Amino acid sequence: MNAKKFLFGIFALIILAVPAYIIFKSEDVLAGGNKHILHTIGFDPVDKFRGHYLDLNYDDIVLCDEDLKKGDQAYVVLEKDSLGFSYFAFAESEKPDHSDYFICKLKYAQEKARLDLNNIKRYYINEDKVERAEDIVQDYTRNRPNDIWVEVSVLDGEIRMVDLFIEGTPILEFLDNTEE
Amino acid sequence: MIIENTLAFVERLHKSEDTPKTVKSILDKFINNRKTGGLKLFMIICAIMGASFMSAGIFAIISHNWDDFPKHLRGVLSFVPALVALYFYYQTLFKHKESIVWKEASGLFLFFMIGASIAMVAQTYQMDGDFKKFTLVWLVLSTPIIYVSRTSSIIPFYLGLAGVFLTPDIYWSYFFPTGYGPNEDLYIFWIFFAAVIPHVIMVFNKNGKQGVRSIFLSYYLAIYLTLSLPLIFPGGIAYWYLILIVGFYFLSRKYFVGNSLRQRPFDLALYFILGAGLLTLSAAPEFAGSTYAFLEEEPLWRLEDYDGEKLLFNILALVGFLAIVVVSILKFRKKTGYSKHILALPLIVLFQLILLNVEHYLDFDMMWVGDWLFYLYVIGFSVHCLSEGGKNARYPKIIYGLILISLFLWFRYADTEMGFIMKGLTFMMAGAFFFLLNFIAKDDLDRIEEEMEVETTTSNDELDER
Repeated sequence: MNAKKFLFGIFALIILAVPAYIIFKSEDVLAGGNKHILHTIGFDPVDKFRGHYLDLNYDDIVLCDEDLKKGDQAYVVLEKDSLGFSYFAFAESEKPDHSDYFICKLKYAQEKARLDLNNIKRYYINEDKVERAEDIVQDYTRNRPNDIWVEVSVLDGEIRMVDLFIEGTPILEFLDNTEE
Repeated sequence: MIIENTLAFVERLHKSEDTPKTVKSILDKFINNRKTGGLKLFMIICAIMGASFMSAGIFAIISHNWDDFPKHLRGVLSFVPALVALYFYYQTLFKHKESIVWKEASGLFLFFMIGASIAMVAQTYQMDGDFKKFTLVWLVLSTPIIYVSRTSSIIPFYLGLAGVFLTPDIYWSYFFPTGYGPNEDLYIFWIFFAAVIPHVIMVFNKNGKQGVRSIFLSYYLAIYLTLSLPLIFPGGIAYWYLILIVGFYFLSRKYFVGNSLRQRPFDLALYFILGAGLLTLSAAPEFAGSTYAFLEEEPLWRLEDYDGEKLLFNILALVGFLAIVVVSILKFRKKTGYSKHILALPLIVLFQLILLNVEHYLDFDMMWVGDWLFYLYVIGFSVHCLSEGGKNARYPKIIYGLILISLFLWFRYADTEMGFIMKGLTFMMAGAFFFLLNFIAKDDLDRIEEEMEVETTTSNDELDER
């Protein structure tokens, strides 16, 4: 019986280890990673398991190494422009010698590549706030694109979203501060 | 009537003082099972429904997104669904290990709560819109549940989620989708599908009639495989359907012999696929040129043009097809009691395949031979269904045979190669054949009604005499 309980304990630990790993990895990247801000546009679909989210799109077509092809994992390098915004500069097949990169799958590749930016594409948001958030995001995307951005953190090839910012304020705070 | 009499006999035997104790204890079990079996099944179904609705509710509450809570609190809360489900699962394994209700409900609940915990973390850290990765982790963690507690209720959800790896991939240019093709992670589906097979075989492997669990699993698998076959096998689909028909037949023969037709899902599915296939191919000459034009979709001479999964699955399909041809020949020769009408099908397709290649390589048109052979098969199969159904008074089988043969004949009416006089005579003969069937049935009906009348009169006379 004890052996069975021991095995059950291992099974339970493995199940709990997955969310724990995701949490620790994410905290590590968010706390110690290099910060970048990216232009974005967004709209609102629903995930049946995880709720409402703003679907965030980026300029995800970049120059790439010739040997890369569809479905490959590439090292995507981030560079900054004169306004301080970062952009995806290049997809390389070799690991860069600096830390401003993340690993990403390519949807398409032929001289230029289209990036599969799964880890920063969704901003999950409360169902009561999503409608206003979407209106605000679309308004800023159309009229003031330089005042809406996503901050990301990259570390050891991993990328995580820090937050979605409107005029330098995280969107949830912005929603709280502005009237309906 | 027979069942009622047998049950009355069993009751009498159980009450009799002359019945030995060992026999009485067996009868005890039988009678108790009969009295409580339906109730137990109802309890299991209620528990499964309870676990699934409860889980759906928890998913919905998580989906609300509690972003007012601080991130670290949401991180801790992410573990709660899995921990609660693990507690109930622990209770099942160590306190209620004999209870099917606990096994099914707690296994299903744990399956869903594993997904809920991962979903909540993903939501908290705004990450991972990749549903495939989410599903992969979820299914890997859930696989032990199937075997540790022998929980069958998760199989439909498990294979349903594994279907994510079946959905066609969309191909992109820089800006637009440009087409679709087989899922590049199809092999992952195969791994998860293979993971449930030992469980299904364990459930099937029992003596005598199959129970509710096997029948439920079989219905699910039969429908799942029939509908998703073109996605599971992205090459040689015609051969795979043929393999499926013969495979279903052997499965049914091996495990479901004692069950009635509605309790033999594989048989029902094979008759459905076979009927649909035969009718489609009967109509094929009008739009494709011959009844086996489908073999030209992916012919042998084009194998060298294929690559990747298409080539692999075409070769596997051919190997599988040749295997069922060999098995069919062996079963034919050994006189094992297998239905020759099913086993003949692979042999006819093999003959058609040979004819097709003869025509292609030797430029020698013998397609009509293959067509006529196919027509004879459809007629033979339909008549077989009619006569088998008639012998055993199985009206669904009779109706199946009637629909098959009548639709087949209507398709032939559109044949342009047959002269009108020939066509006219054939159809008049077919009409006469159906009238003949009607007269035979009428004779039978009259005879049965007469017998019933005699029986009623005799019983009334006996009552009057008393």
